Amino acid sequence: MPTDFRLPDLGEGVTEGQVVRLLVAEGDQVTEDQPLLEVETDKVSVEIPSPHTGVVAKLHVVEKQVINVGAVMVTFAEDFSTPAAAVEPKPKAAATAPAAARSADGPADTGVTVARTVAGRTKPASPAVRKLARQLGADLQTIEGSGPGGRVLRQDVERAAAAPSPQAVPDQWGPTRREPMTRARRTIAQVMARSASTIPHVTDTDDADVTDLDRLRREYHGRKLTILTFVVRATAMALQEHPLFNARFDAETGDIIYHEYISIAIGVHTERGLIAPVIRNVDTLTIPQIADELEALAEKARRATLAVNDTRGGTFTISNAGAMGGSRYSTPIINHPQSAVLSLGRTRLQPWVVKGKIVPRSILPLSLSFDHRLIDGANEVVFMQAIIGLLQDPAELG
Amino acid sequence: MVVGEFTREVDTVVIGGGPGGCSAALRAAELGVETVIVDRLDTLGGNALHHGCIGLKTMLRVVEVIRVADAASALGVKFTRPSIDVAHLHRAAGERIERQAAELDRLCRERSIEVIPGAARFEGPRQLVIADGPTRRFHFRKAVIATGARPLPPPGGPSKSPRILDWRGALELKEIPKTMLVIGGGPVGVELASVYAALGSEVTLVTQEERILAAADPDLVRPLAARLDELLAEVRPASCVTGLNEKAEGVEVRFQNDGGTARRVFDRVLAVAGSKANTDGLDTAKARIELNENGAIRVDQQQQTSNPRVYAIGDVTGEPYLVEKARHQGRVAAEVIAGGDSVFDARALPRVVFTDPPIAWCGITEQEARNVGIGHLVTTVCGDGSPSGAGMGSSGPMTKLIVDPETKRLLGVGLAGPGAAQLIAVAALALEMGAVAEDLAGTVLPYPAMSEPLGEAARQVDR
Ligand SMILES: Cc1cc2nc3c(=O)[nH]c(=O)nc-3n(C[C@H](O)[C@H](O)[C@H](O)COP(=O)(O)OP(=O)(O)OC[C@H]3O[C@@H](n4cnc5c(N)ncnc54)[C@H](O)[C@@H]3O)c2cc1C
Repeated sequence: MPTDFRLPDLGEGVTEGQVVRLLVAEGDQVTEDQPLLEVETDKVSVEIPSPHTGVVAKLHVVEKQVINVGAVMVTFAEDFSTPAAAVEPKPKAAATAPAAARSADGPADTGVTVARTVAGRTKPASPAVRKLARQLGADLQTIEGSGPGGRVLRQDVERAAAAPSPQAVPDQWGPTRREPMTRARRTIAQVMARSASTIPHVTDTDDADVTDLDRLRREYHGRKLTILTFVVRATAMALQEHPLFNARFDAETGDIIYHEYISIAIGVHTERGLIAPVIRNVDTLTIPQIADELEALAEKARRATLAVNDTRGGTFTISNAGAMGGSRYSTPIINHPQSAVLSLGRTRLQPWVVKGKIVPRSILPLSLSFDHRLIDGANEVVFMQAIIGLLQDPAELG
Repeated sequence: MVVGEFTREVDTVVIGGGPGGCSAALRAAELGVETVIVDRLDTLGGNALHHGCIGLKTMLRVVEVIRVADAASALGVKFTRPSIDVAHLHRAAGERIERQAAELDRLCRERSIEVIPGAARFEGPRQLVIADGPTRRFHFRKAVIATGARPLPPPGGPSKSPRILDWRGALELKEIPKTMLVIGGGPVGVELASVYAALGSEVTLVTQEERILAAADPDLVRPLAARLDELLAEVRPASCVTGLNEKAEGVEVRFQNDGGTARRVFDRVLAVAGSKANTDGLDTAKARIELNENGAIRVDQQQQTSNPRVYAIGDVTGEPYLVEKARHQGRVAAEVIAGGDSVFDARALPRVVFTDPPIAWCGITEQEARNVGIGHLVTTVCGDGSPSGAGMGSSGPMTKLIVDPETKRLLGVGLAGPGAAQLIAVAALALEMGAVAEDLAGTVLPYPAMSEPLGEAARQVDR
């Protein structure tokens, strides 16, 4: 009996994931813990390690396929059935009935050729489900059945139909191409649409003269730090003084919910899109500690090993847009359900008027969007100036 | 075009009022499509009703009754020898046919489906003429061809002879011939041979194939073959009929096989070996409708022909010849014409040979699985083999399950013996639903009943 390996429970209420990459092929010999494939859930991608040492007889998934927890991903040629299963006695064929159970001749039942065994060539599915698949335009043969014996169920078809497959779709003016979004992109799309449509955004822009800070950060207690490190620190301090910016609006009740902690999400761009891992209790961290946290997050983001929890529980967001290119100001979208977001432009030398003289200074452009339901422009100006003040006088940052 | 002749615009024309054509028309009308049926018979029902199925099934019923009465002696119940009034039997079958035709007629009238007698023929991709009677022309939006198939005459025989009959004549014999040759080892040939043998003829059955019912699993055919060896005068497999000569004392038939040639004389010859799709009179080329290499109309899964306005269903699209296949295809065509997205994707297609013992199967057979290279596992449970006549005890058909070795999904079911014709319905449902053996094993079946071996076979797979 070959052994099936199913998508394990990934925790955090995650019920499905998308196959990003297959790391083995049918016929491969794999060792225990060797990564078999990479699966992406809401915002995290995980490598699924092999539970056994053995031969991959069949891969049941393809890249880009969305699969449910519990769906068979890989079949091993070998029998790894657990002792618990082996305890079940295998009754002998009843001696009373003149019966014969035999395997067909032919090459199909050795373990290694199991992959070639085609179950009647068609996917098992009831006539009603087949009809549904036609109506929804889903190709039954490509749907992974979650029922017994791989039977395709109604919900399998509905799920498959919800994820359109790549295909050329001409419109009135010329050819177009349809492609499914990655899971991560779909999540971003949903979150952004919700933020933009439910939160009345106002954005203000200003500049901080970070000439002194820029000098300081290059040799901070023997360590070179990023401007971002200090912005995080300054923001945490400003949030302590201006708790509205660390609050959220409960539209159901009309209440303002103040967070008694300060956890800042850092928006970073990765290959898989925008993600915002969180530094917790920033107000209790020293500048070097913040720097350590930022480095750790960057490393995790690069390796795509962030856990779902790493992106949850932020109370304010800083987006380091400047690190991604040359932008000065932007109109950042608030990370729902927070009340404000700060976006950093790129620091550069600018002609600046200091004490009546034009001098070159390092200028950091800042853009701040806030939820106008609970914050007014007057509050915002004070908050922005508090941050700018701290950045321009780094001694204050401690 | 004759002056004054006018062309009628119709939405959908169905050519042929057999089971396929009728169900297409009824479904189309149900979906609000204006529909007319054209049939060259002046009655609905087609071959199934007027030239085959019903007549043969009525005679098979007689055979069964005789056998049940015989078997009752085991229980101490004795009947006198039956006397058979053939004319009465035909009348009874005729009445049944009349009733069903009348019912079809009523259903069509109820749904405002006009039935036009006459033979239809295409004049262009969307033009049709009805030839006999006053010529009428139609301009259609859609057409459905449901003209069925017809028997091929036997090779090497006189073109017309009252002693040489095809299946149309086979069911209208006024008396039981003393000797008879049945040419054709398919279901119809085997059924006819066993009917006439039971009614008292000395029947010889000849087939070109290596064995009778070549499409069926040999394990299933074996009990029937043994029974036919007792019942028939002779079974000649792997033999060709090379000549038929009408003589005073009967038809002299020449056979040829590996061993050489032989001659025999029979009172009657029933030739049911071959048939051909009814496309000849249709002028399919004028409507740009393509045929396949066997002369049947080529269709896709939605029953559409190479002419997108024209659909074809039932026997005219080729084998297997089955009433329910024709009906399903008719409904699919009607739904597609009405704008739906139906397809004909049956996976089970139950086949039944209504002999004694009966044979039934659906899905794939063991040989098909082996030929195509589909991995499979076979489980066979024998029924107790006793005839069901007494209607007692737990006898049931020999049951053969073909399952996928990995998932235990049912791929095919074969039954041979009492109850097979009815039980195959359960198997067809299981196959269409994609059932695994455990589903069948976990179903509580009645007792005492013919289904016992079926449950037992499923449990054995499950072990
Ligand atoms: C003896 C016998 C026993 C059978 N037993 C069984 C059985 O047990 N179970 C089973 O499932 N099947 C059985 N069949 C097969 C079954 O009868 C056919 O599969 C079925 O009749 C097919 O239906 P159809 O609508 O395709 O065609 P048909 O029933 O053949 O109907 C075709 C109709 O089209 C008409 N027509 C033909 N050409 C034209 C034209 N140019 N213009 C107008 N009208 C035209 C004909 O008059 C006919 O009425 C049996 C067949 C025979 C002969």
